Amino acid sequence: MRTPRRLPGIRSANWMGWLVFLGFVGAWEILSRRSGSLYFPTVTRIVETFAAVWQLPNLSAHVVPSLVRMGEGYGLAALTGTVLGIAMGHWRRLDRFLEPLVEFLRATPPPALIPFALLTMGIGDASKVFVIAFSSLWPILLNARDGVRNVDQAMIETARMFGLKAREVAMRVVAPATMPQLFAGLRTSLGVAFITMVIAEMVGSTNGLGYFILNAQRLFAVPEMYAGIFLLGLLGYLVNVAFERVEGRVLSWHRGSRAVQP
Amino acid sequence: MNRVVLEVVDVSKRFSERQRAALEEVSFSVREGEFVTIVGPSGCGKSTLLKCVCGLLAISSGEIRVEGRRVTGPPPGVVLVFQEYNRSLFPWLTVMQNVMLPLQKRKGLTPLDREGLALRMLAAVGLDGFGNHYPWELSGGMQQRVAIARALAFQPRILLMDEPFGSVDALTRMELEDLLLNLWTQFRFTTLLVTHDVDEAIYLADRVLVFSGSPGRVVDDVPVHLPRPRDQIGTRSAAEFASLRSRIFRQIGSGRVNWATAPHGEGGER
Repeated sequence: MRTPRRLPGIRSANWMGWLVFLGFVGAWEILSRRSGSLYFPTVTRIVETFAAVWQLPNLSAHVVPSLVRMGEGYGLAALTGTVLGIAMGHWRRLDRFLEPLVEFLRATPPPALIPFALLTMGIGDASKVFVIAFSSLWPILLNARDGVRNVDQAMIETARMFGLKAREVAMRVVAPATMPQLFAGLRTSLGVAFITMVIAEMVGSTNGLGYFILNAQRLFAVPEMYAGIFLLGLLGYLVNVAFERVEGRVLSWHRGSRAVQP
Repeated sequence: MNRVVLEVVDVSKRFSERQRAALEEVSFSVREGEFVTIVGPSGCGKSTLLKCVCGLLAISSGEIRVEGRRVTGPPPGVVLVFQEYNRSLFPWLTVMQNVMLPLQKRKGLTPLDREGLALRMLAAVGLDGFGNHYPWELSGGMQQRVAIARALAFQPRILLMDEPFGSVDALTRMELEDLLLNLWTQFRFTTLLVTHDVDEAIYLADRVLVFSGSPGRVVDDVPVHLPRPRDQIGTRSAAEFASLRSRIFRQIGSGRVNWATAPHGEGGER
């Protein structure tokens, strides 16, 4: 009865999809060979450059800083969002106090805060971490809040009836029941954090993947620019797969129950 | 006669000032080991009453006493089984873990005792071997059995059931009715069961309390002297069953349910 969910992309045996992908790559190769355009280097060239560029020096100069910023910003958002969201879901009054502020802040496009962050926190890591955390905070916060609020009353009543105290109800019923929605927020934020990371590094930075891509473009090092873009795509994919692994483990019961009850 | 374990005295419940009362001056009592059913049209406050008895809802006036003690919060030894098993079983716990959950609050039991008790109750409802399944892997009827096993593992003095068989198909329903009677004979817990199915109410009960709706009131208290053990075919075709049925239908309001009394030649009047 448990249906294993396929991971997206590489792992699924979707040969039609792969045919389209190979067609795209093949067409790129042929067209770029024919035109000889500077802006569209051949796939072969991009792959060669990719292998040459992403060696240890560049990995430690650009990839590591990017991942550290992303990890710090996202981690900060996950922590704050979960705690504050649960608190807001539990205490209606707190929610009413904070709701207008939250609605205003989350409607602000995060890149608009980059100048502010650079001004107040300087060009170092702090400003990027702040913008990444700011952008990824809201989906986590709001999903945690709604998750707590939407826990089925019947489950809470059942637990109370069996003599569980408020604390035990919170830990053993509300917490697990909130998990699916909390994870939905965490997943949305992961993509948001990734995007914000690149933007923040393009605007005011001296290293990182966003900086690397923009710099390559400015120097007309076009194959390097593509190597950077391709690495970002790859990292995005891997981060997503890792997240799904964790989610699958924590929410194995949920996936099953959803598969059975439409 | 057995002693009274549950007393409901002049209980009224109003959800807000402007609304009509959900319950108005409801009084009745239940004796130890008795099987009492409450039957009435939907919206007559039956479910509200059960929630008040198990302390999940506060009453507006009157008094509810369980074993002489006034109910202010969930009283120990009283368990409610909901109609929606899928809303009261915890989907992140296995069947066994669900049944064990209320036992963790019970003092004087070793972990081995708890496990043994849970296994015994699962066996009693015919679910041995299903302990490691998740509730959502089971059919609706089986899930409600898990909920019943969990309630019984708690070893309640009073078992409250709110339309427990309302969400399963007709055949499963009969099966679960007989299972419940069987368990009741075995363990002799006091039972108060709410249903809107008049036949079910008679089939199960020692006594049927007839409710009328809006505001909910007790309009009749009908003793059932049908012999036990009951039998889905024999009991339901007994002459007494038919006459109880007519009496209760008339109390609920013959005008609204004339289809039900019609086969006995007593319906149709408005």
